[in-house]
This record gives sequence, structure tokens and C-alpha cells, in this order.
Amino acid sequence: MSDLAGLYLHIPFCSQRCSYCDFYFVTTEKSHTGFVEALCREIELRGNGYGKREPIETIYFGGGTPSQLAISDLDRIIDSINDAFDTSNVLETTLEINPEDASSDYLNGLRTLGIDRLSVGVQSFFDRDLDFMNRVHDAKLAKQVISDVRKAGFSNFSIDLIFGVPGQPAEYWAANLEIAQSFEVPHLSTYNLTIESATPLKNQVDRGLIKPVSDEDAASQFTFTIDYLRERGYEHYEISSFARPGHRAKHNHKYWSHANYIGCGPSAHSFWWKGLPAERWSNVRNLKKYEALLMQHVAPLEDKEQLGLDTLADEYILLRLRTSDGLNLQELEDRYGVDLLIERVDELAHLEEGGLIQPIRNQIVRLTDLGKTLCDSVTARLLPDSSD
Amino acid sequence: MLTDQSRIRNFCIIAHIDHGKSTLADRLLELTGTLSKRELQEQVLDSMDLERERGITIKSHAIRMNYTASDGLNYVLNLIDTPGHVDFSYEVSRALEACEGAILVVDAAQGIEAQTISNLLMAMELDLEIIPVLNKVDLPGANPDEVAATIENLIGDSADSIGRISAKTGEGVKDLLETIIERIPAPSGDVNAPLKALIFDSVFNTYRGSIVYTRVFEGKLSTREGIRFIATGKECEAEEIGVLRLKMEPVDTLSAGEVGYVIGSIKDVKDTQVGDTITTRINGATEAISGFREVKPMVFSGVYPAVSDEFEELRSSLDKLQLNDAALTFEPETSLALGFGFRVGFLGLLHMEIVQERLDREFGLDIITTVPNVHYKVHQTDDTWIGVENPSKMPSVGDISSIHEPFVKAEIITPSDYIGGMMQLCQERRGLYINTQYLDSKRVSLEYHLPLAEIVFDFYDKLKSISRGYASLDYDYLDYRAGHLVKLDVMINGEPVDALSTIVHRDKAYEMGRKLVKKLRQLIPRQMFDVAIQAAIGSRVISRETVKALRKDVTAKCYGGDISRKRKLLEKQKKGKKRMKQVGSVEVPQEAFLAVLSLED
Ligand SMILES: Nc1nc2c(ncn2[C@@H]2O[C@H](COP(=O)(O)OP(=O)(O)OP(=O)(O)O)[C@@H](O)[C@H]2O)c(=O)[nH]1
Ligand code: SF4
Ligand SMILES: [Mg+2]
Repeated sequence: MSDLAGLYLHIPFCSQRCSYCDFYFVTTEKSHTGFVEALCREIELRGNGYGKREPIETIYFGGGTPSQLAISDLDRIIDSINDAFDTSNVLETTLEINPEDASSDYLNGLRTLGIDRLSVGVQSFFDRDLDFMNRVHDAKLAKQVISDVRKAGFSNFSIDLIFGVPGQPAEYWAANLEIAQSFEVPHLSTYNLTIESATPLKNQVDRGLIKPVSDEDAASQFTFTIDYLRERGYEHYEISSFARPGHRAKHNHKYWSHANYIGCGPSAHSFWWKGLPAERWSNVRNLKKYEALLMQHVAPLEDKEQLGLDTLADEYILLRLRTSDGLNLQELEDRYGVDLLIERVDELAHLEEGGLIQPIRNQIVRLTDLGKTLCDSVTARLLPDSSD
Repeated sequence: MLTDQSRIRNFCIIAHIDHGKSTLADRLLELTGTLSKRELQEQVLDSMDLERERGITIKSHAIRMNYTASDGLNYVLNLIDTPGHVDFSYEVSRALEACEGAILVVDAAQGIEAQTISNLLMAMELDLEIIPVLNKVDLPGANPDEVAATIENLIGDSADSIGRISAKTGEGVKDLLETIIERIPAPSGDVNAPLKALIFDSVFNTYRGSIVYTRVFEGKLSTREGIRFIATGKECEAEEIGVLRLKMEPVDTLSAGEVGYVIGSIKDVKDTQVGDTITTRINGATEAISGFREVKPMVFSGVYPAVSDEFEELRSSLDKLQLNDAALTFEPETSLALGFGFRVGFLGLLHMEIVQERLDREFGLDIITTVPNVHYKVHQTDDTWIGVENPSKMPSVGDISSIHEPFVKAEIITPSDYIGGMMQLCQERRGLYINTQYLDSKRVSLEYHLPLAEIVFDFYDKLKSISRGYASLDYDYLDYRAGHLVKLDVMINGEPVDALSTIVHRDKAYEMGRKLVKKLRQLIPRQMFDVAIQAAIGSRVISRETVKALRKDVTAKCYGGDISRKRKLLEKQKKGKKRMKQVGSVEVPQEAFLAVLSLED
């Protein structure tokens, strides 16, 4: 895959709040017109900013819940994208969809818009879990949606499942995986439930109403997942991602390989590296502010940082270690000027001895399954000293 | 103009800790008009930040006052406020050398305590005129009659003649000033003899180099005169001389009997040694004033820069600190775990803590200190003797014929209610009972011979808690005695950690090993692998604990390309790592090297 940019669109609407969620969204917005207008303006603004009609390769509608938007709204957004960017090389257009929105009309509408990949927010096939998480859909719909998606002609799709759910009966997680693979789902994202600050879940934990799952249990569910899915033909190609051959997410790959991406919509993040310093920026996390700024054709910027090579090297290490393709030390030296075999030779030896990384072959460092459970610790040990 | 010797009074204020020396100094400064009301703050002479924060005096502090006495004459008073804590008794002894008299302050509520007696004895040895006063008579709990009677027993002054003051309210302080003029002898050195001036303190100043504080005993010194330091033989010019007010105040001449400061064209801080005698280059004296008794550090500890490339900075900072802290000694050493550093000698744990803090505050150095220990003398099987100040340098068991440790003569003064508890404590600490003496009907002085190693750690805290704060302790080096001592080593994942070795009594080794290993288990964070911590004597492991490996440390998702958040977390972790020391593949936090100090029972 080439290094062409990716485009992310953040759709900040949800019908209700899931208890664990710390994404940016609103649940009270009746009309989407103002937002769609603002988003189209940002797309235009960004398109002008990055050369005229920067070629992009992937488009990703995330949220929030993009499936809250009407087909006509999506149509308008896609038109703006086509105007502002060169979309002739687009390989993948993904949209996150919640089961309750996946009527056959809606799915067909998405197809006609050229959406060719769906990411379905299933999370669990059990009502108990879905209630716990305060999801809108139920277990029946969770299963139904998979056949509906297929029926509508989507052969490339992913479902999200969450493990490490407090109070969940022991057998549920294995059952969730079993159901998913029985549907021959081409791609699975499995997330360890994280107790993020300022979420209803965190509040319940603080008040002692919910006891978080122990690290031991979460780790064993994680390694169970890896074993289980690998045996059934899935590649574990990134910490939280599993794919049948040929079904890896091309858009997410941009994040992990330091390719450029532009995020539009409130709270969206962007990365741009064409000459040093590289830049990361994020948009305002407030819909009203976002709309107001764009009404005045002002970039809805919240934060911008410039990254030198040292910082980029840190990022590259942390990103690549999450992937099964691994951290290429030659690449790290050529592109980032860091020779980890000199800087961290002792650590590399310790980590290999401790069974946390695989023996280095062809200059590539890859985590073992044990290493994956301790990915952040391993990363911390490998970051070079030179940067601060 | 020369100051008339008969109008000079040099005295210091001595007492047990917290009996009110610095507060009394405040009142004297106020009454003599040396400081204006605005300049005055509580314990104004405690000018170091550390002193103010802790509310104790660490350094002696000299200051000059003018006073018109009731006889109508003008006097010059040089006052030296001294610290009360046992670790700093060396400061007191030097201050005493610069004076003809001493005010012995006794808290009328607390009564006589250990440093009341030890400081009194020092002053008596030097034949100083001693003026005892009862302080804090304003307190409801004050018991001046009884305490006065005890003092009478101790020094023979009649109880009625002992002044009663409140340094807080100022009551009785005016009378005390008159007593000072009356009783303390004026200095008597010959102004026309060759110059002899004793350096009783010095300080390093970034702009001016080293500044020495001196008491002129004979002769006189003028600005820009050539001077010589008799012991080091170094010569230079007295660029500035002056007297010590709250700030330094330059004068043209200092003559016999006076106290002041000298700033010379002195480059090397080592050339100005406390205890040395200054004389003039031309027609100088040849013989020095007998200096101070050499001060011997009691405890030793490894001091290492937290960041290894700051070794040279640590060295020069210690050099400068030593100028102001003559009790400090240091020698380079290396540790496998901690790299290059110094073995530093201290007078006690408070001294160690203060040095550590001063290195941090005055020199901006981040340091790691290891567990302090005493100096051992080892008799080896080949009949040679060696000194060991670092436990990891202890010869192997086969080469040792006996290990000798320092003993101290300890005096504990306690209300008689707590005698039982005190005796039990001394017993536990391998003490030998020597004597009991009643100071009055309620207070007792206990004498013990104790291994120094047993009292440097938490003995004082224990003593205070047993006696609800009323007992006090003083000790003095006695001699070396053979003991059943062993070296306790700590291994982390099989690797011995030199900086964690300690010397302990055989009977306590097992318990100590168990506690130490348990403490280390709490201090060492979980890592990616199990960490085995073992305590061993020789090759015999006596205790072990495991820090279980981390089970999970992985961020679920880099949400929507928000990489910054994750990177910042990792970078924070990386910063934290810099403060860890690597032992094999194990990251050990700095606190671990002092674990022995915080063992629970
Ligand atoms: N009530 C009362 N309190 C006093 C008096 N004199 C001192 N104090 C208090 O006793 C405490 C100790 O006083 P300091 O003057 O610091 O004692 P010190 O002897 O200089 O102490 P070190 O220098 O640490 O040995 C302070 O809280 C003072 O306020 C007094 O006459 N009456
Ligand atoms: S998890 Fe998804 S659907 Fe639920 S609140 Fe968050 S963004 Fe909305
Ligand atoms: Mg004081």
C-alpha cells in the first residue's frame, strides 16, 4: 500500500450514552443540518490547505454514530470530499454503524453511496452485557445485523466486541467469540473495556458499585482471544484487531505506519508529515463551537504540536510494536536516525530472554503473545534516551 | 578607631534543643536595638530556609550588638546562637572557643535534658563564665523552683540567683543583659602582639568565594593587609574585613577581643580551614591557637548522583558544603548498582538528612543515598587490621577473625516513670547498663554503653515515643569492641546489590533479612517478569520474596488516531524510568536504597 493520505470524519451524534464511552458526541441534537454544513466547509478548507485536491486512499466515518446521519447527509459529505480531494485512488470507505440503525433500506443506501466497508458496533451477543453497557440494541439484533449486512452485499465488514466486562459470567466471552466466528465475520476488533475518566462507568467504579475485572482475568481473556481466533484462521495483526486474510483495515493502517491523515469534525485528530517538523493537531471538542468557527471559515483548531525526529521515533516505536508486521529497525534507523540495536541492545536481549519479544529476524522486532499483554511496558523499555 | 577591650563581651547561647536559644537571641537583638521592629521576625538568626522550615538551628550564627548598660557605658556584645541537636554539638564546641562566656538556657517546663548537660560540660572544660537562666517561665507548666534546684546541684550557683526569663515575652531579659556585662569577663589578648585570629566558621559565597568568621585573640588586622593561614601555610590579602551584623559590615581594623569576618583573595576553598589560625604575613605569629578537637563522623553512607553524569558537580558541591560544615567528610567510591559516588561521613542521621537537603536546595543536585552504617574495624586471619566504612567492602567470612564496632557512652535523661521502658529499650539494643543517677526527685540520668550502630537509626524516635517526648539522649564515642557481626546481602534476581548490603548482629540477622526483603517487595514496582528478592548471609539465603510480574499493561486502542495522548503517557513513564536504577534487568526505585531505614516492626 502506498503512503497516500487517509481521511477521517467524526460524526458526533449518538442516541444514548454507552456507560464506558469517552468519545465526543451529543445525544440531544435533533437536526444535523448545521453540522453537515460545517463539516463540508471544513472538508473544503482542509482540501484547499493540503495542496489542491490531495490524493487520498482511505475514508473513514467514525464517531459518535455515523449511522445517525441520513443517507442524504452522507451523500452531501461525500460530494464535498470528492470536490476537495483527489479520490480516484480511494481503496476503502468505511462507516461505523450501530445495529439499531441497520435497516435494509439504510444499508442499501450506503452501498449506493460507495461505502464498501462497515464497522458494526455489536460489543456483545448477550443482553446482560448490552444492558450493562447501556447499548441501544439487544442480543437478537446483534446477531440479526450480521446477516443483514451480508445480505445487503457488504462482504468486507468488522464487528466490535468488548472483553473484560465486570460481572460477566465466565463463559460469555468465549461464547461471543464463537458466535462471531460462526458468522465467518471477516474482521474483528476486540477491545478490553477501559475505565476512562469522566464516564458513567468510572463513576460507578468510584462509588464501589462495580468492581473492575482484575488484570489477571483481563490478560487471560486477551490471550484466549489471540489463541482462539488464530486457530480459526484470523491474523492478529494489531493489538485489538483480527482479520481473515485480505481483510485488514487499510485506514487504521495509516495510523500505525505514520502515514498522513486528516481528521474533520469535532474532536478529530490529524497527522501530517511532509518535511520536518511533522504536525499533529486536534479539533475543538464542542459541536457548537465547531459549527460557529466554520461559519466564519475559521479552522476549528484546538491544539497543534510540532514533532521533531526524536518524538517521531518514539511514536514509531510505540505504534509499530502494536502490529504483527513489527518494528523494522532498519527503517527506524533510516527514517528516524535511531539505532536501537546500539541504544537498547541490553533491553532487547532481556526482553527476548524473558519471552516478551520474538528473536529478531531481518531486523524486525515483534512481540510474543506474552509481550502483547505487556505491550506498553515493553515499549517504555525500548524508547531511546535521546529524546525527551 | 579601636574598640576598647574592656567594653567587649563575647558569649554564646547554649541549651538543649528547643529550649529557646534563638528566641532569646531575638529579644537581645531587639533590646539592644540591633534590629528594627521591622527586621525582626521569630528566630531571626535561623536564616537558612531549612532552619526556618524545621524550626531548629543547624548552624551557629554570630552577630554583633551595641548596648548602653545601666552604668552609662557603651558596650560591644558579640553573641553566637548555637544549635541544640546532638548531631551539631560540634558547632557548639567551636562557638564556645570564640567566647569568654556562655548563657545556659534551660526550659523551665522541660527541665534539665541531655544536651543541657553535655553543652554545659563543654563550656566548663573551656573555663567559660556560665550564666544559667530559666526560660519559658510564662508557660503554665513551668516549674522554675524545682528546675533551679536541679541546676544548683549541677553547677553550684545558688538557686535564688538564677535568672528567670521568658524569651517570648521579654520578661527578665533586660536584667540578663546587665548580668552579661557584669559577669562575663572582657577579652584580654594583647593588641600589640603578632596577630592570632581563630577561624571558627566559614561559608562559601558564589560571588565572593569563601568567607571566614574569626575571633581575634591577639594583635590586630587591617584591610588589605597580607595574611597567612598558619596550618595550610597559604597566603593572601585581606580584601575585606568586617563585623557581623545581620548583614556583613566592613570595618578597617579588627583587633584583639573582636569577632568578625575576613574575605581574602582566596581561590581554593580548601585553603581556608575551620580551626586554622590567621596571622599577618609580615611579623606574624608562628604558633597557631590550639584548634578544635578533630571531629569524627559517626555514620557513613554512599551518596550518588541520581543522574550519573553529575558526579563532578557532586564533588565540587561537597567541597563547598564542607567549608560551611566542617564535620562533613567524603571519599570517592563506586557501586555496581549506583555507579560513581562518594562515601560520606556524617555526625548522625539528622546531619545526613540536612546535607542531603542542602545538596538539593543550594546546589540543585538530585542524589541517592544508601543506608548509613558505622565504621568497623576488622581483624583479619593474617593478623592485619582494616577499616570498613562500606558494608560491601567487608572481607569474605573466611578472612575475618573478628569484627569490631564502635561503642558509645550514652546518657539518657528521663522522668523516673519511664525508667523501665528505657532500660528495656537499651537491653534490646545490646546495651550494657552502667549507672543510674537521680538529678532530682523526678528526673533520672541513665548511663549505658551501647553499640553506635544500634542507636543511629530509630533509637531516638523510640526513646521519644516511650517517654511521650520527655526523655533525651546524649552520647559520646567510647571505644571499639568485638561483636558477633555478619554481613547481610541482598540479591535481586540472583544478582547481589552492593548498595543494599548491611552489617548486622548475628542474632538480629534473620529478622532483619525478613523485614528488609518484605520492604523491598513493597518498594519495587511490578515489572514484566517476576522479581526475586533474597537476603543472604554468605551463601545462605535466609529470606525471599517475589514481586509478581505485571499481568497486563496494554492500551486497548489508539482512538481515532489520537496518538499524542498515548505518547505523552509513555514519555511520562520514560521520565520516571530515569529515576530508577537498573539492577540486571530489574528497575529499582531510589527509595529502595534506603529501605532499611523504614522497616516496620
Ligand atoms: N512560651 C514560650 N515559648 C518559648 C519561649 N522561648 C522559646 N519558646 C518557643 O520554643 C520553641 C523553640 O524555640 P527556639 O528559640 O527555636 O529554640 P532553640 O533552643 O533555638 O532550638 P534549637 O536551635 O533547634 O536547638 C519555639 O516555638 C519558641 O517560640 C518562652 O519564653 N516562652
Ligand atoms: S460507544 Fe459509540 S454509540 Fe456508544 S456512546 Fe460512544 S460513540 Fe456513541
Ligand atoms: Mg535555635
